Amino acid sequence: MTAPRAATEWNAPATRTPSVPITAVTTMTPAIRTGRSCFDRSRLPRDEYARRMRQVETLARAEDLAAVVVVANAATPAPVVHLANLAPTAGDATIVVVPGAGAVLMAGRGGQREEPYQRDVTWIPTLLQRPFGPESVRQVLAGRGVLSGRLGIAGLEDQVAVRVRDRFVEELRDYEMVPVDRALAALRRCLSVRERSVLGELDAMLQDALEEGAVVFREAGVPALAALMVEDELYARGCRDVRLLVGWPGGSVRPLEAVDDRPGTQFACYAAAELLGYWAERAATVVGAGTRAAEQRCRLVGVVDDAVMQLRPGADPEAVARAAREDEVDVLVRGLGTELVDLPRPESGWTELRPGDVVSVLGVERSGGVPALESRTAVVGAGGPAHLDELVIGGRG
Amino acid sequence: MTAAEGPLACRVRALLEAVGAAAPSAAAIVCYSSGRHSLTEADPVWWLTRLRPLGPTAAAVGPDGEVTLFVEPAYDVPRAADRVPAAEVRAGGPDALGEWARRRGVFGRVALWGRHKLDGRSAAALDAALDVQVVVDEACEQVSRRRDGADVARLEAVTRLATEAEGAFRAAARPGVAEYELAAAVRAQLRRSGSGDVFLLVSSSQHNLALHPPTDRVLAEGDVVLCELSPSADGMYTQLCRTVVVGEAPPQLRDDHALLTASLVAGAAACRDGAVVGEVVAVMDRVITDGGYGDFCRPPHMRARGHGLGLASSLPGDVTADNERRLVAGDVFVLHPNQYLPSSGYLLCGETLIVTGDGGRPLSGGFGSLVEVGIGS
Repeated sequence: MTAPRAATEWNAPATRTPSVPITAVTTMTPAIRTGRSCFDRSRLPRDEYARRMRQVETLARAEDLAAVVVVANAATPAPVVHLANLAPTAGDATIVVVPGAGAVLMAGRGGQREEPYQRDVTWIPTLLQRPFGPESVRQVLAGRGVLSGRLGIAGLEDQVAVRVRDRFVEELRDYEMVPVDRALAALRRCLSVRERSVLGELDAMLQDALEEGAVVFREAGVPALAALMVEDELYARGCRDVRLLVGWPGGSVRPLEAVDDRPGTQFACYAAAELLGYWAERAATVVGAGTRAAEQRCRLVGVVDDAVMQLRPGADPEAVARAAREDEVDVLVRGLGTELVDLPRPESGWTELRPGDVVSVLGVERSGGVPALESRTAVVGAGGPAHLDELVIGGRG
Repeated sequence: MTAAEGPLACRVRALLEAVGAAAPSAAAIVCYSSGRHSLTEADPVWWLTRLRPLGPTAAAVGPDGEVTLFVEPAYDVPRAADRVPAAEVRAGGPDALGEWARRRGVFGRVALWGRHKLDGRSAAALDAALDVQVVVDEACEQVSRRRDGADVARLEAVTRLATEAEGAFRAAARPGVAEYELAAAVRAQLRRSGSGDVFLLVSSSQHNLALHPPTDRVLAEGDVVLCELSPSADGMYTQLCRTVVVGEAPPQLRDDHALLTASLVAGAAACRDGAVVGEVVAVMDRVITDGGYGDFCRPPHMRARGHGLGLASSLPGDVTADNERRLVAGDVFVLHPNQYLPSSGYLLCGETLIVTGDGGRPLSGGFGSLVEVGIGS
């Protein structure tokens, strides 16, 4: 099978469905993340683990929790990655933290076969292999003398299949279960300088990859091939996961499901990627000089830049986005870090910006055939937005 | 709008028939996808419509067979409409689905396919919206496991992509290349040749203990490099499991790989219509046991002798000794005696098969072999 050769142009007239405002960004989930999977090397050394575990133990003491149980699946593993420095390859992973008695990791469907790899990668020294699940969590708690009391639990409602949730509820019926999703999300939101430096590196990678895609587009005039270059570049440079959305005729964006060689006059691409457990995003548009599309892109850049200037401590990200929106121009303010967060997200505590937040402002201009996409990444500084490079170690300057 | 003709109509008929038998009082069927995809699990929305959902998506089949898609996010509606022209496509989640059920007079009489993958929050929302009467996951998967001629042709084409990508794998497996760089090269080849989402595991070592996702380990002379190559097209995955040696393979490694290949060939021959999965495993394990490695035919030295392939159906499930399901002609799954052997480490050897009355036919047309790549060539 070869890549299909289609007769129609990418920039064909709008399809029968009118363009729809983009109010959140969803990308296509892969069956498995195929890029570099080891998070912890020199950039995020093992003492990060001690710091994060101390935070969880502090939370437990403050909330009078006998233990904290964190569950996450392979598709949205941030709660586990943050504490274990390991993402499950498939299935669910669980961490049990008993203050003063350390943590136990049960790491996904790969099971015993993956144990050597998991031991090599994770920070957590105690790894429990199959059988694991709710029954094992109860056994681990009992083995550490935690037989009843308040149990902090995260991920029960949105990370595991309902049948697994029900088994957790049954197995842990002797405990008072207290959701701690929001508290743990708040911990993940506070990024250290080390973490921001990873985001800075990733942001630079995304810009470079989009520029590589632009070069391909200028040479070949094929949007899908340009997007594929972006994807290839990011994987080749060590990203674990890459998600693309490509501007599509009719004012929409679509995932790059398969590559075709239809020509087009405009290349608009959104790229999100994960590096060492951290997510960032960038968007860019390439248009012909002097065209109406160029005017649209120019308008969009102005809108996005103006929105960035409103990023300051205490600002409501939704209000910033709402104020920036214009007719057929969507603006989204998104939190960057261990996951990509559409803001505001009250359950994660992202209702107002704080100093040190790393934020992306994404704009979509839908008045033409193919939408224009642009973004900026900034750090919320005490006096307003700052360039990411200004606050990272080893930034590009 | 109805799915009067075409493949969608055929699938709707098959679904109505299966659900009619399993849940006669159900008045409508809702196929639900969370938008999270797995190599080994069915996606009900994909199976019915061939739309790979971006986010939570429901395909509602009314009593007269018409299909209405409820898509999130809203900006994915144009893609869904292009992909499934015979269906009505709307933006919306459980609330919109509930409104549809009430207007159609089927509230409280809905059969749901896909509940097994739902998280608690989604399940509660769907239950509130539809008052789901019955879950029909098993009955529907018995339908979706049957691949038609077009599906098989597509699977064969996808397998050819994997076969072609073996060349990229061999070419890139050189000293000095990191595992993730090797994976990126193979992935790039697959995507450029037309693959959709790619499932890929790449591991390397002088003595592999297991298979795992790619790390930043740099390949060296004498390494044994493992790769599970799983391209997809339009949501259909196949898988080849391959082992490459950087340099010359020691005789024991060749013998061990040949033993696993013999196990694979014997297992494939046993994959006849009606065979019990556990019996296939016994056939495969017998070959390895006769080779002197009976103690290694269990975890942690191996996980399963194969597994189903999405997004159509998880069946026949994991190919394990305790799986008592019977194979059905047309089942497509990967058979792989991948495992650890004490002299050679973990080795891969696997093919995607289609079950026939005469045994499992490899979609690649044969069985892969151990490959030695020259150094510096």
